[in-house]
Amino acid sequence: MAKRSVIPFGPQHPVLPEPIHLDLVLEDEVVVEAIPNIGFVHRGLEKLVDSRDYKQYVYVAERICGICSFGHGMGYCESVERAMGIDIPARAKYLRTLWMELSRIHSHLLWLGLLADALGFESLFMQSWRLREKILDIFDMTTGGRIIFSVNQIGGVLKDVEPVMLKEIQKTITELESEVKPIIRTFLEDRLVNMRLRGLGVLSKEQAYTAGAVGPMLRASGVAYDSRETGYAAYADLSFGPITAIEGDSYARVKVRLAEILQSFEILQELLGKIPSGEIAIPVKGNPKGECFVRIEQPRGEAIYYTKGNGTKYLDRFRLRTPTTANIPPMLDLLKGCQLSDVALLILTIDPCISCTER
Amino acid sequence: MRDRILTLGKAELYAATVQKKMKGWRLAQICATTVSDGFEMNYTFVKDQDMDTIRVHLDRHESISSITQIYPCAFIQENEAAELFGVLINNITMDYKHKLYRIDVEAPFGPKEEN
Amino acid sequence: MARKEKLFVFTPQILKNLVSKPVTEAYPFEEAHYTDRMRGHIEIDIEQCISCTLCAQNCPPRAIKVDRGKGTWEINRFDCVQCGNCVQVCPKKCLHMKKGYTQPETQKSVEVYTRTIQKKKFPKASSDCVYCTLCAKKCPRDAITVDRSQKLWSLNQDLCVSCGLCAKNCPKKCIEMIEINDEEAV
Repeated sequence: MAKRSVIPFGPQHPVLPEPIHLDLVLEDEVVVEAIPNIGFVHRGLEKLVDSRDYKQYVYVAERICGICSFGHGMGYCESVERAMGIDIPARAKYLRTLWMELSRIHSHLLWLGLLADALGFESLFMQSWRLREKILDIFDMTTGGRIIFSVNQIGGVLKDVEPVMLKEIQKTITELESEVKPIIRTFLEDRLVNMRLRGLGVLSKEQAYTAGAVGPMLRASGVAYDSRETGYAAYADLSFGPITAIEGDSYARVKVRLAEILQSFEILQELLGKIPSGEIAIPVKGNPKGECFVRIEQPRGEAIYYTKGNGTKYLDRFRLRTPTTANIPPMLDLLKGCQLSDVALLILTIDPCISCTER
Repeated sequence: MRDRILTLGKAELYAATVQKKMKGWRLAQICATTVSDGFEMNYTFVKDQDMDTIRVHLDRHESISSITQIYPCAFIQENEAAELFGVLINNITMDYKHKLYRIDVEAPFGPKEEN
Repeated sequence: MARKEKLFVFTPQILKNLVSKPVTEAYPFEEAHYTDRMRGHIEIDIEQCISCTLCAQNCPPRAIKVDRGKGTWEINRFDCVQCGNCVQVCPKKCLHMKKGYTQPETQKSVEVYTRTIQKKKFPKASSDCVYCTLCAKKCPRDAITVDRSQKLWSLNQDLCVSCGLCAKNCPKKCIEMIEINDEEAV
């Protein structure tokens, strides 16, 4: 007869970058149930739309999370712009896409580093973050911030990226494209990484879909869905398709994210060749009235932004459903039946971002 | 690509959700909004490029039954609506009973109580 | 599918890293390098300030306080999030985003800047006015009302912040900024 016990996991744990608590019900070494407990970093930022006018709130939306910062600002602006019926200049759309794709690369590299760290592969962790540093330098040069850019505004972007900078970006990403290859090879071929990840935490296609998984998590289980295809910002002009894998295990999730880094480089190269010149913002007069749901593909998956205006400068409601909120239920499915020693790794493979989730 | 918002009565929600599930829609989002005389509950479903939002209007003290029986993954967002807005949701499979977020105030996002 | 599993895949990179330079700066042993666009801290050209309070109203964390009567401009640098919104909205362009971070402290503190108080000036349109409404469009506070059909130009002195944007943008150069005595203004 197996002995049942409950083990608390987190909120502080070496592998977790952010606080989430799980009560793990164990039968010997095997997890039979996991009960999540969040709420350590809830700040009530959605409520702030009541007291900050809709143009100011862009800066609040950006500060919901450090890693997906640009995406949140952009998603908020997109939804307000669509609710108000504003069409922003083409160059602004391209610039937003540029920063978004760079953010995707930096987020995935950060995650790969954390994963390598969880595997105990310190040198791979440092190398991933070493490459990420170059992306952060691009952000620093173009926006003045490494993590939080504050370049979005309703009606466009605040700062233009000059041709000299675009050349510099092109040079850096071409370099990075070759420098990232050894990391990719290591994650895919190294025997130790393979042993830890292959066959661990298999999420079937049906399971992933019904549990509401999003982003790389969903695509690694074989569902070809990428909300970039809905054509916000400049994505309608660029050619790309969703990257999928069929295995649905942790290894597949790594594979999908690695392929997405390479895809982002391709998108960036195409974008840099096409970027139009012209205005970067249009003046916005009046207040938002009406509502809009917008889907944005964040590095971690699809995020949904909802804004509802009432004709005054304060919005009635801003809602953000972040990718991690959607990925927690499938994560609980993954944990059922796994070994206690794999729990940390499985939590990490959904790329959790708790401060996003709680807002 | 199609984005729609459909307003339904409270009684029709359950049937509509089952139908969405049968047709292979994914539950994307649940959110509550405070309106003058109560709440609006928005249930967003996504299938490929399409996005449908089912909207149900609730009075201030009206309860609604949970859809966690159909979509188990709804539990986090339903708990959130219940805790932050004070929406009365019955039979959530994993009911945190206002213990999801560690906050002191009851229903901080909800309508202001008339004093 | 044949699996390609190897050992020591990463070793060449490790050896390469042994002889390459670090990508980060060895701050504080080396001087930190800042980019031109760096959002470090806000600086004010206080004599240009007209205490219009637009920066304070548009500050998301409410770090700025402006007292119109005393002519002071205060910032709590520990609340400031360097979003740069105040720089965007300032009609006199007297706020600037500069390089360099705020030094750490054990307590939050407020920095106060005081300007020499001048008499408040209000715009006044002369008879050359053609009622083009450009001044009303440029006004950040919507204090000017222009009615072309009635040939009326009026100013709401309570809203006016004396920024002078109307005078600067007037195509006929017919708006003058005139000092009005306190008794008259009230």
